Amino acid sequence: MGDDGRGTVLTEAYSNSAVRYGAVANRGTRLSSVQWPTAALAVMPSLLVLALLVWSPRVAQAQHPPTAPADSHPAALRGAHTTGHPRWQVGAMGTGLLTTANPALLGRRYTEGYLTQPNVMANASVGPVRFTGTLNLEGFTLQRGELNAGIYGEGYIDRRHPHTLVHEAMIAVATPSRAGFRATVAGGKGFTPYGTDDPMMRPFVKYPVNHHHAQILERVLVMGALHFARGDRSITLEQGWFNGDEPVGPFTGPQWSRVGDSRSTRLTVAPFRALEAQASSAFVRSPGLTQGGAFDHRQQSASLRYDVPDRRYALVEIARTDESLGTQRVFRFTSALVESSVMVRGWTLSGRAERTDRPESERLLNLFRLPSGHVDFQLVGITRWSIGTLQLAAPLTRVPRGRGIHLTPFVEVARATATARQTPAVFVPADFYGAPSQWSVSIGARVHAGTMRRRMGRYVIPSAMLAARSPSAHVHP
Amino acid sequence: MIRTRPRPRFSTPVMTALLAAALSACGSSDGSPTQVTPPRDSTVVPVPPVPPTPGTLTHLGLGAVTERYTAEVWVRGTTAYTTTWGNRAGVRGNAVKIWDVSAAQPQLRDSVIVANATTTGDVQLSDDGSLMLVAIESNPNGGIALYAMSNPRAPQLITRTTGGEMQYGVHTAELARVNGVLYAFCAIDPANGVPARLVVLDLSTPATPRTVWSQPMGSPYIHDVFVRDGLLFTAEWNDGVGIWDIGAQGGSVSAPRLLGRARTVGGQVHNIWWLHDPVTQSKRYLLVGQEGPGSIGSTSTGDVHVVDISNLAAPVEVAMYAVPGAGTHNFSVDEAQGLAYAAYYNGGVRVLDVRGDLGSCQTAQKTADGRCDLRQMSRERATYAGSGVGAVYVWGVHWSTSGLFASDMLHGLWRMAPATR
Repeated sequence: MGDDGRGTVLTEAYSNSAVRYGAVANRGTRLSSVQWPTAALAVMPSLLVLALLVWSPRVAQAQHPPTAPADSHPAALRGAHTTGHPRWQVGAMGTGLLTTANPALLGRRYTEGYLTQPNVMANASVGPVRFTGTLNLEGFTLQRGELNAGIYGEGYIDRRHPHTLVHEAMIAVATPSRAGFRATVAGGKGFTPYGTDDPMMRPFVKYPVNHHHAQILERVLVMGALHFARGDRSITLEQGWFNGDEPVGPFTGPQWSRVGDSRSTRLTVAPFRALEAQASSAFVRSPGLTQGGAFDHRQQSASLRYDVPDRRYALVEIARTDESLGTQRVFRFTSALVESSVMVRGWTLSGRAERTDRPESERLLNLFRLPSGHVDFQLVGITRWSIGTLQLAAPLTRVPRGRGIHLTPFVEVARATATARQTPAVFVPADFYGAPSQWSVSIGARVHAGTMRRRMGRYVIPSAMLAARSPSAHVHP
Repeated sequence: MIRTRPRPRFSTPVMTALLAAALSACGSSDGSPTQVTPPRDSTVVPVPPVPPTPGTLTHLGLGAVTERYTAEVWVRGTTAYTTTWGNRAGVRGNAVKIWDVSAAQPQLRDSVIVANATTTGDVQLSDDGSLMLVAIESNPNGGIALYAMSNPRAPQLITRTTGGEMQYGVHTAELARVNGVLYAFCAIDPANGVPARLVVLDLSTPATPRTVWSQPMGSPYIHDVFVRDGLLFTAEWNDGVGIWDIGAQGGSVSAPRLLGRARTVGGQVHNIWWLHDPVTQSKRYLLVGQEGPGSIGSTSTGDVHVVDISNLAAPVEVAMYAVPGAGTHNFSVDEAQGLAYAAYYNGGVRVLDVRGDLGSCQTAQKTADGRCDLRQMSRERATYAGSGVGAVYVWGVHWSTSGLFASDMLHGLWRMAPATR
């Protein structure tokens, strides 16, 4: 089904039957030797949200029937657009996780448990206006960060940082379609039109190192898009303006005075239903120092994404970040990533191979932390991370008497090798980590409840419709 | 000692073409506001004189440090002090090492561990030798430590500050006496939402340092200061060099008065030395270090800039010195000899002749933007790059009547024979 001009604003929702993500913590697991989140009490709000979602009749009403595909409600969706009747949907997700990393650093093995990626998502629409919101609760559950070899950003290193509480709050308005063309204007806080899908909506629980090369998120932005669709084919051009400063904490707002100092452009071509290619570029002003003055980033990304729901999924992406002073390029970091999933009888096997360059900076007393905001135009090295990851996920399981809660247990194994790109370097990975390679094993379960999205950070309204019909990044394969 | 070797000469046409290409390439590399001497003749590309090959400083010894990265060096009498930096395979830069340098080979005698430090950057002893000041990074454990030095090889901690304006990290700290009072001038790192600033502490009572001036400064940060004869020079990165009256012309340390500002080509003003030449009585020039981006341990960028401050209200950059493939860091000057020692990271140590008129040169000795090139003026007198250990990364250099020393981040404390004219 192509863009018939009667498109919808709520077609991102998808069937519960296809959902694999979501988790509750391993409540039945003995973990006496394991560090659980220091903010253990903060887990409770997440669980409470999940419970509310399950028991709320109104929310249940908003869900699609578990076995019905999201695009099987064209009348209702058209109704939302043409009648102006408001519609809304809510969903929640999270992952209970136990990770052991050996060595995590200095030859030491770390074993920790988390409630990671806890999110509450809401969509609402009135006529041609759509709201997309996501609350991310990692600020409560992931303050120390999550062990994740090679990851860096926002003051964390070798641990993934918590995202901001207001992960997304975007309002989009679209024009009616004319001859297949439609324009969208969107604004709020969310993902900039750059790069690939958020790792949170992809198969693996551990993030790729290239997160900050391949996505630019949690910015205040204004964007416009032009979308052309004919049948299953489409072309989308997006342009966004946003604040360059990275979040400095999960509960810290942006620098409003900097909104508009950075920009990105993305071109997306979908030659047929299952395939999507994108190329994008961005200029990000001083992301590392809120008041400005640090390196500017010039980023580029290209990807090819193939996705057949419940069968196959693959992503090939390359990304590059140049750190510059004015027009002078100083450092370049490159990334290449391939990931894929196949599903057989409900079991999903996923694999990822990544090679990404990471800048190294001085560390704080806590060796998993970096100075946030410190301006130093020198690095202590550039490390090339080569990581292979495998994940096996069990079939989706409905929680008994859970009224819409689904679990997906999984196990994920990764082997990471870090090498200094330049020598001599003062950051010598093998010395720092205590071994030339690191292993990590994660077991856990995703849980979701309510209505989920197929993709995150896509605000072009016709694209959302296409996404609903196309395979979901969140439903692999 | 400076040894000189003959340098191969190139044919005139080849050199002319190469120079023309180089000048053309360099001409548009910077867009920051700059005060430079205008070129006198832009129509003729002359053949530059070939400067003599600089000599090599004589190596005397190495005090090896292998478990930590070495940072700054200070020497008084027969004792040297080196700080440490960052993290080397899990070992933090929280130590100040104390060396016996009475012989050619530095001998490690002791170490002081500074609590909750990841880097102990600057180290300096007061002019009377009674106090040692150590700058401490990083956020949120920044501050300074003061030690009593009644026994110069057994420092006794007086105070280690925590919290306050200095918690974000003291990048550099300089001791200077102004009107008989000892002060610490501390350059504080910026943090997100917190601007960099200069904090001046009155150390009359070392156990309780008292802030007498605190001023946000620098774009994006202030890196260092130089204090002499009632003038304060501030290295304010892309804001250039601030020249402040703190006693020379009626100003004070608690109420400095900005006299002028010098902007050097490329900005990134990192450190300063105000030259006093006891032979010529000249106090005309500032040596300004530019620290460009680099990867510590392997690469560096940044030049030495010479600024004429004859008119404090309108300083002018008149000369520069560059080392291809390396960037400068800290300076130390043997003013009696008129020789400046510049740490040059992966370029080792460079010795420059800074006596006389640095702002006048032949057209062929000028850069494309009209500044004199000290290398083309044959003012590069010697180099040093360690001995027998491979690549070096020299952070600081310290000349005194005790000798000449260089701190190498990778290897420790080098000792060399000072150059002579």
